[in-house]
Amino acid sequence: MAQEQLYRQLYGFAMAIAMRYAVDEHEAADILGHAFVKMFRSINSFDPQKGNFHGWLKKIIINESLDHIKQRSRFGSLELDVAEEPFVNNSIIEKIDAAGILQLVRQLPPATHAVFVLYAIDGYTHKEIAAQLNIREGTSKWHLSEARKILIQKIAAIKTSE
Amino acid sequence: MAAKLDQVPVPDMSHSIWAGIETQLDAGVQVDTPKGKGWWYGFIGIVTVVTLILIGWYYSHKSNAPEKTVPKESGPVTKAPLPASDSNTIINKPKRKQLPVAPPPGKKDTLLNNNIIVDSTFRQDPPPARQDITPPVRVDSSINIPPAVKKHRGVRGITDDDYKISAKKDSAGKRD
Repeated sequence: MAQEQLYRQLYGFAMAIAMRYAVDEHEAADILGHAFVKMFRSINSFDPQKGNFHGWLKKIIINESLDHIKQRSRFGSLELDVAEEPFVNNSIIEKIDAAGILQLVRQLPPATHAVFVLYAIDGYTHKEIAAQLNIREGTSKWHLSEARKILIQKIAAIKTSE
Repeated sequence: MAAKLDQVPVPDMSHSIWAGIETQLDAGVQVDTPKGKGWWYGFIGIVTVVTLILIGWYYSHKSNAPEKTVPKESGPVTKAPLPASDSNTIINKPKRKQLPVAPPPGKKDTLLNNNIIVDSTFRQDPPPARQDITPPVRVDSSINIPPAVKKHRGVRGITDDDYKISAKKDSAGKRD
């Protein structure tokens, strides 16, 4: 089947995205299944002139991931006018493997987790995140700041334990 | 950190995930059900079926309703013509009438005429217990005997006490 072949080709790319937003592999699989069904049902609406197919599929997966996160949590109303930029020691990060970093990110609160991945991993702006999550830009900045603080604390804890 | 996360190994769950995808695609289940037209068709169908059921129940219930009330009305009608019981209950009311009573206006009834005649002969008969007689309650309603109207006696403004002779009053008036 053509659909199955397309799915097999895109599985690795799609699953990596879902894994960043999900708390575990099972939720990632759930997100992926729903996202692919949506993609196959709306594939006729894809316009190659507006963008590439991978970017279009990535948006579908991210939207599905955020729907799952919204079911689990609310996005806070705390706001910041200016995003704080906590210093992160990249050398420490390099010592931690990818799975370890993923585990650290998954330990963030749900809303903070979503904002961090959207901003730091997938390159969304605070304006785009606010529109996507129906929150204010200040709230998005606050969540990003919180994510960085928590990650620094956890990385520091790993460093001291070594 | 973004580069690190891109290197995260992906679990091999492609077969199980594809099975779920294939099932949903074959079943034609729409993921975004609230917005799909199929949801509306199903909703309209359910509403139509429920409406038809309610209409059928209403008409069946309505047709049965008058049948249930008819036997009740036929019962007292058949029992109404009992002369003895009717005359006894009617006797009670005329007992209060001590004046020659003209028949109630607009209500010429043979039973009333009979009451006048009967009243003179059956006054002393004790009134039967009304509990034994159920039809007369309905007979009264069917005959529509109006309640007895007590006519005013004598001159208005003068009570019975005025006709009483008392010693104090008279003696006080006579001395003066």
